[in-house]
Amino acid sequence: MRPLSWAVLRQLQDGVPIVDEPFREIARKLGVSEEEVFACLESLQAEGVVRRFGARIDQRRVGITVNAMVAWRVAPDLVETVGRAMAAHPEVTHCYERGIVAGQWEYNLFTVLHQPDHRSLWRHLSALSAESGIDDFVVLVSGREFKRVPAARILPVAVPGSRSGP
Amino acid sequence: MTPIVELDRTDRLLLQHLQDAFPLTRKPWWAIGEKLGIPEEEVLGRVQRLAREGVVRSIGTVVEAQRVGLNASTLVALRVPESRLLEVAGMIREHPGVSHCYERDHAFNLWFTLSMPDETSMAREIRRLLARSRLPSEEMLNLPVLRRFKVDVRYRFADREDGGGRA
Repeated sequence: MRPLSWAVLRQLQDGVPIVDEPFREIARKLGVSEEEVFACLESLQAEGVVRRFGARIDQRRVGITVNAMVAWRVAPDLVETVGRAMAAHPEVTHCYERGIVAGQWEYNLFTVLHQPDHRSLWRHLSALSAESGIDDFVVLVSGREFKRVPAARILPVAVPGSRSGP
Repeated sequence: MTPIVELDRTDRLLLQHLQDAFPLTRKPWWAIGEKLGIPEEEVLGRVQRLAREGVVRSIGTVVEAQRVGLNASTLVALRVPESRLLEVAGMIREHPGVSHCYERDHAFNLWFTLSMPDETSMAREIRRLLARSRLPSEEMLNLPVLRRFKVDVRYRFADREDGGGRA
């Protein structure tokens, strides 16, 4: 990745200023033109480094207050099929296979759903369970939020030209 | 409990555009205004208000972790005595590799995600956090990612019939 790409990412990961011409400020800080910022962003998207550009919303503020992590116990040979099927549901925001801790935690497929209330959560969970045939699952509803920042951040160590970059 | 912000129909359509189809142009508010049929100044005013109210956290890039050198990712669950929950959560949240940390309704009551450059640094940081929590190791579950099927944190704010479906 080019040094300018790192610089653009570092500027944009915390968001553009919400002003008349947001990218003008970014371009000024980087000492390049706005066109160069857009071109850089487009190639980062094409390369798959940037997944999307857009608003990050605090869903709790708009009434989507139930955040449920749901862990399913799925036979190893079914994980691929069930994982793909669950991931295809628009209500499922995350879907991962995770390692288990034998004898302590046997639930290996994790999904996250954000819903306005428990009723709609359970409606979707019933559908996911019926469709997959998986009826052994744990619902972990969130309480207090202690931290929530993007998982992928450019940490201070990843300076242009350093060996910590990809 | 977070107070809920009341949104009108235009706010909802606007949020859908900001989230799913943000225009990468010099005048993004104008471009969105064209789509929604409202003036540029009104778009900017509404976005500023939504940001002030905490609905819009930021407008920026969502980055692929593996592509920026974070190759190991895990979910850790801790069983923390209620009296120590705030103290332990406060310690966990300070770690720069921790992105999400929530209290959850289960015997394992504190859950956090941790991303690190590789398996070696991950194992080291897990050991450190456990030591600092002063919890016995059986009070911790380390559940590393084996396969990722989906990460797409986007919401539906407007009904499809309302013209606000996903782009």
